[in-house]
Parts: sequence; structure tokens; C-alpha cells
Amino acid sequence: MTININKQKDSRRIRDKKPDIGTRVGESFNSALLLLFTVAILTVPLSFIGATVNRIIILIIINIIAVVGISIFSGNSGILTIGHVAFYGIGAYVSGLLTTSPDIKMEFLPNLPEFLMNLNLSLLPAIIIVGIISAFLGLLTGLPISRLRNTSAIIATFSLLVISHYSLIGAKDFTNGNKSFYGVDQVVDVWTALGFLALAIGIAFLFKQSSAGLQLRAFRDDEIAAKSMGVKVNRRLLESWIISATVMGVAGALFAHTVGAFAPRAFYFLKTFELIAMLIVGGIQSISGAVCGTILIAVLLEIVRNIENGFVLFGLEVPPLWGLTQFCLSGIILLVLYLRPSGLFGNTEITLPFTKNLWPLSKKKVYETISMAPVFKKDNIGSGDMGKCLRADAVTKNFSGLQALNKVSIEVQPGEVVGLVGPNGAGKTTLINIVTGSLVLTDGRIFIDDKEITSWSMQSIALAGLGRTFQNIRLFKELTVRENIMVSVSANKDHSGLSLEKTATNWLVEFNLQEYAHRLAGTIPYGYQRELEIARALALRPRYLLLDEPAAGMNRAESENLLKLLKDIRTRYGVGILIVDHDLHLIMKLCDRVVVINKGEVIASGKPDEIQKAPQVIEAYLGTDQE
Amino acid sequence: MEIAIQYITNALSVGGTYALLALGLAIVFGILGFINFAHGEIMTICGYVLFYAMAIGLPFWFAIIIGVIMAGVAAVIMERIAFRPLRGANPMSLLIAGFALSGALQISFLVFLGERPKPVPMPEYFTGAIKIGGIYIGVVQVISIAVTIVAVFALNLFLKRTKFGISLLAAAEDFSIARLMGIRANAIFSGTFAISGLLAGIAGVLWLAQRGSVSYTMGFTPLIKAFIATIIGGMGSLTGAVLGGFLLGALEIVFQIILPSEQLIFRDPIVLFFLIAVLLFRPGGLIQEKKESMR
Repeated sequence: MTININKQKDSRRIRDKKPDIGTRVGESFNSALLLLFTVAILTVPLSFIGATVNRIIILIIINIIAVVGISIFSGNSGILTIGHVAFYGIGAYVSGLLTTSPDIKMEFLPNLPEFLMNLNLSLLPAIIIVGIISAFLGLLTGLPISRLRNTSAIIATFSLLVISHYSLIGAKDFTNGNKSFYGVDQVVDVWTALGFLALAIGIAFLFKQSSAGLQLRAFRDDEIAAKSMGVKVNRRLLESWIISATVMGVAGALFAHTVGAFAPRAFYFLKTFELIAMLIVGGIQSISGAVCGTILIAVLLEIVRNIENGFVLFGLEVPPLWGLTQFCLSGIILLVLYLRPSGLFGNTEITLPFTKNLWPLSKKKVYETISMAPVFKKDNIGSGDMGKCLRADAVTKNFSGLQALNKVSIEVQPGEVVGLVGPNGAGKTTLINIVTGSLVLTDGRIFIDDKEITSWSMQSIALAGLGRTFQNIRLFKELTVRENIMVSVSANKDHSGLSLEKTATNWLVEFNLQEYAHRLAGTIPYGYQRELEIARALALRPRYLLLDEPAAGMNRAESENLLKLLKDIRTRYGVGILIVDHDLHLIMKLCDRVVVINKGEVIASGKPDEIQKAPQVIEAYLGTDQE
Repeated sequence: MEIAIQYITNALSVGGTYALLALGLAIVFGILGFINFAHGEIMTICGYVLFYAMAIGLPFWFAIIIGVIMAGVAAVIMERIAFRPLRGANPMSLLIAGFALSGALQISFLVFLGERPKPVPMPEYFTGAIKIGGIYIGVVQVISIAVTIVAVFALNLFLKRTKFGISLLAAAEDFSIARLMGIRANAIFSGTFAISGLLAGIAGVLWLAQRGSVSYTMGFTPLIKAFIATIIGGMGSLTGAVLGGFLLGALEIVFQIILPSEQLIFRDPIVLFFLIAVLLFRPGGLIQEKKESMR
């Protein structure tokens, strides 16, 4: 492992290798185009066969739109939604109400309010209104749901399905209750459906690759790390929820205008099953997976339905039509979970090597900037202003009776390296968790420069200027090395006019990690993972950096390299560093000041050589070490 | 006054049923870390066993015992077949597996046992009312409340006083440490599901006593509410689950009273909506996990 941050050498190396740093937009554009093309090839020719097949084809395309819609939320956040069919159903009913001719509505909805009765919009305006209404409902439902995680979130989405189902049945004056809503113009043809599919796929890719999508995927991998990089998780969840609800609503409207008549049971358990099977088979994290999984399941379901009809012909005792279908769907879901939980595509998207230049904007500019030296100015980060510092003031923390910290004060100046040491259980980790906002303190105050940040959220503290690394490395393992950096660059917003990729690539060059740029972060060697974590924290452009046992698990040579790296970071960026480690060799060589805590109290503080001689330290810490 | 007390007993008896269901969900979640989506189908199985046991002429109380035991057995089998192969997978996979299983079971009931609800005749003394302090209260309600109290109390005793109960609590605290202490993982899995199944069985009997018939979707609606009760109570908290169940029962009765009869279809949506709104203000549920969010 070598750490080399010699700019000259690096930029030369980059020029030599001409690394492919293809833009996010370019790659996604290829995938999107390829997917659309595949769907079109598979569907358009079949649509000429006859009216029945044509309708099946259109419904499959609409299912793809719906599944892509779900994947906008579930794929990026990793939280499965089993309630999105609610938006689909509401979209169908709303567009039905908006477009169906007053004469027909008069027949089965005599109590409809006047203005709805007289409305007779065409498809496009109706869909726009459906989109707006779905977005609004998304906002309403997303507010509580974006605050939930894991199982709670999934269950809460499920209750949405139940709410919408009973509401649709109950609102008889608008929906005809349990009976069919009919007479909707069947105006959607294959081309309209494909058009909206293009839109849906486009939106899905754009969102996935946007900073919001990137941050959401970071959250999916590791919520705590994402928050520590300044990611406002709940807001990102809400955004993606709203977008995906909107797509779902529009898909529902298209469905209504394809089938012409429907009842609430079309938007309930079975539909949910169908869409979830489609999503899971392809792989929940992949848009390509959503598209291909849907096609696969849809074809399979058509076959199953035909088998069921066959039974009818032979006059055997026939289960209701949907019986076998649901059985198959359940079986498929279980099978995928047992055999290939991440689906056919995992987290990859389909691409073809020769399509790299499809995106009209050329990549030339990218190469130019990449050969530039990284652009950090010392005054951008460390101010060197004496009055400013990271300060914990008389911090006390009680864990139900146990006092973990008792009036601990600590201060880090910009450009200064402070070591925090102490035996196991001394309270180091507690202090770090309090400073970074993952624990709430019992008493005391924390400041960054002149700002009091006591009990701020993790993300606000990160954005206020405190970067951190973790004792057990917490990279976004399913993101690439470069994307890891891009997450904190994007949260920080200020990246001197450069694109996310360029800024991130510059950081990688800075840490000599550029050759791993496109590897998944979880797959690079351990030492590099540690460095990447430091790089990711620095990419936030913090004024203070908190390193939690960076040398843990490193051998002597590796920790020597780390020492060099950290010294360099301090001088080049002027950040104040608070470092916790058990590697005393590293601490003594690196730190300007060392603070020793034991049993929740500061027992010594001063220059490394003074500390080493202090009797109370030897007794509490070094003394036991020598035994 | 009399009406008020009748409403309160109604709320308590309905809430008790939800509480037992929620308790079964919460105990699995608390110990094994995932929600069993097919929990409602265990309740349905109990209902069908009860129906067929009585159909072949077994006495009522004996049928109930068999039904509840079979619910426990069904839960253990469910764990063996559907969840054990996925052990160690993330909670979401397990939830989806339960979701798929629930669908498959419902369809099996429908196809093999028929679509129409099967009436489970209750003994006559069940349907009457008793006079307590000059006020008439339905026997079913009284029995439901009593059974809920006894079940919760018995579960509490079991968890705190028996060796196996204590090892379950230890597993809930920290599964891997519990294993290191020599507690067998398979026993924990089966035991947890058995308890959860028994609770679902008891809830199923109470549900039947109040509704009178079993159908293939019997477990579905109460389960959704029990889900919400466990979230509202605080995921995995047993006390919270009971609390959430009773809160749900109370809400349901309140809306039953204030909604005009033609709007009653909106009762469940409104109750669910109300509960989700609670989550807006307390995302962690009413009884928050005591553990600090620390790694």
C-alpha cells in the first residue's frame, strides 16, 4: 500500500492512463435507451396481431411503468413499498371521473357534484391533473412514512393500500362503490403507452443519478454514515416517495384508459402481489431489473391464465380465475428470495459497450479537467483563525444511572491535531457520539467555531463543518468508490462550479485512489477503504475532522503510511483533527496535544511527551499497559 | 351510563383480540427481528380447525383447545418451511416471504375449503348477557376480556419464570450472545413461533366468538390492524403491542359510534389514517426502545 499525494506524479499518471470517467448522464442515457428499445421491439410488432393481444401488450407496458414507478422509491431507498397500488387505483378513478362523458357518468354516478359531472377532459390534461393529485397525496402520505424505517415503513405503506381500498368502496357517489366504474374512453394505444414509458424510465434514471438519488442510495447502504455526510435522509425519502407516487398515479390513469371499466378489487392485494413479484424478480435496486422482471412475470402470467382457461374448457372443477395466478406469484416471490434475493440484475443496469457515445454532449471537457491538479486552497478549509475551534464544554452523559462522562471539556483548533486516548470504557466513544450528534448529552455544550451545535442532528452537525470516520468502516458498500465521495460532495453543495464527478475524481486523485473509481467500495482492499473513508469525510470540506480509531486493524507499515497521510492532510487543508486511537505510537508522533480520559473524566492534557511522563496517565493507562 | 359501559366492554374485548394478535407479532419481531406477514393466516387456520372439529362432533371446549394447539403447530411448521431457509436474510426479505406465504395460504383455503364463510356455532350461554351490578353485559365480551387478561398474564409468567421463557428474553436482548451462552437457536425460533401461534389461535377463537364464521380472509383485516398496533406500540415492545391493540379497539368503537351507518365502510380507513398520523409525531411508537441509538 502506498500513499502518494504528489500532485505532479498523479496528474501525469492520470494523463497516461486516460481513465474512463464516463458521466452518470451518459451511462444512464445508454441504459434508458436500450431498455426502451428492447420493450418497443418486443411489443410493437405484437400489437398488430389483434385487438386482444394489443390490449395485453399495452397493459404490460403500463405494468412496466408502474413497477419502474415503485422502484423510484424502493430501489433507491431499499424500503419496499407494498402500498403504491393505492396511488395507481386513485389515479385510475380520478382520470375516469375527469374524462368520461357526462351522459355515462349520469347513469351510474347520479350523485356526482355538478362540476365533476360536466367535466369531459381529454387524456393529456386529465393525466396532468392526476399527476398533480398523486403528487399531493404522495406528500400527505410521505410525511409520516418518510420518518419510518425498515419494517415499520413497509407495514405503514401496506396500511395505505387498505385505506385506499375501503375509501374507494366507500365513496360510492364518486366510484360506484364495489360495482364497476365503466365507460372510460379506451384511448391509450401502444405508442402512447411507450411514450409514457419513456418518460417514466427517463425520470427513474434521472432521479437515480441525481444527487438526491445518490444520497438516498447512500442511505440505503448505511443510514448513519449517510447522515454523517450531511445527507438529509427524511427529505430525500419524501422526495422519492412523491415522485414515485406521481408515476404510479399516471400509470393508473393509463390503465383506466386502456381497460375502460374497473372496480376497487382491481387495485388491491392481487395487483400488489403482481407488481412486487415483478419488482423482486428483476432486482429491486435496478431499473433494468424492474423492466425485465415485469416482462418476464407478465408473460408467465399470461401463460398461467391460459392454463386456467384450459381447465374451464375440459369442464373440470374450476378454481376462481385468480387462484392459480396468485399461487404462482407467491411461489415465484419465494423462489427468488431463496435462490437469488437480489434479483436477476442485482444492482446493475444493462449497458452495451459500443453505445457509450450515444449521449449527444461529448465527454471531452471531462478529460481536460481531470488532468488538472486538484483544487484545494488552504484558506477554503482551515481558516487558521485563532478564536475559532471545535469545542466540547463540560459534557456530561449519564446512561440510566451510570455516568459515562463527567464534565469533559475538549478543544480542537483549526490545523491542530488532538489525540483522545484512554483505556477501554473510558468514555471516548461516548464523547465522539455526542459531538457528532448520534447521542444526546445530559449536560454541557458543544460548539463549532462560534456556533452552538448542542443536540443538533447528525446531518446538521456534518454540514456545520465536522467530518468523521468510523471505528468499523462504514462505507456505502453498494456504491462505487467515486460515488462514495460524490455523496459528501453533493451534500456540501459548494464544489467550485465543477460537476460532482469531477470534484469527486479530483479527490480520488488526491488520495491516489482513482484506479478504483468504479469499483464497489466494499470490494477494495482494507487499507484503501480506510483512506476512502477519510477522503469521503474531507470531501465534505469540513473544518474539523474526527477520526475514530483510523489505525485499527493496521499493521506497523500501514499505520506509518497513515501517519504520513494524516500529517499531510493537516498541513494541506488546515483542518483541525480529533483522533481517537489505541495506537499510541501513532498518537504520540502525530498529535500536537493529547487528552487522556479515564472513567469519564479528563485526567491529563498536554503535549505528547508531557503526557507520557504524567504519573496519573501512567497509572491509569500506560501503567496497565506495561503490566 | 349503561350504554357507556357496554361500549367500554366492547372496546376492551375488540381491543383485547387485537392486543393478542399484536403480541404474537411483537414477540416474533422482538426476538427474531422480523414481522410475520402470514400471522393472520395462523388465526384463520385455528378458525378452520375449530369449524371442522365441531363438524365431526367434538365438544366445543375440546375443539377450542385443538384449534389453539393447531395454530401453534401451524406457526412452527410455517417457520420451518418458509422462514428457516431464509434465516439471516434481511428483515425485508423475510417480510416479503411472509407476504407471499400469506397469499398462497389464502388461495389454498379458498380453493380447497371453499369461498363461502363457514359458520362456527357458539354455545348458547356464549350469546347471552349477564347482569353485573344492574347492567347487562354480553358474555362474549366478558369472556374475551378475561381470556385476554389471562393470556397476557400467563405469557408474562412464562417469560419471567420458566427457564425457556428467560432464554427467549435473553435472545430478544442479544441473539448472538444468547447463543454463545448455550441457548439453541433452533429452539428459540420454534419456541417463539409456537408462542406467537398460540396467541394467534386464542385471538382467532375470540374473533370467531364475536363474528361467528370463518372464511379464507378471516385473518387478513385484523392482521393489518395488529400490524399497525405493533408499530404504534413501538416495534418489538410487548407492552406496547398490548397498548396499541387496546388503543385500536377503542378507536374502532369510537368511530363505530360516531359514524352514520352508511359511512361505516370508512371506519377502518379512518382508524388506520388516525394511527398513521400518530406516527407523524411519534415515529418510534408510543413505547420507544430504551436502547440509545448508538453503535
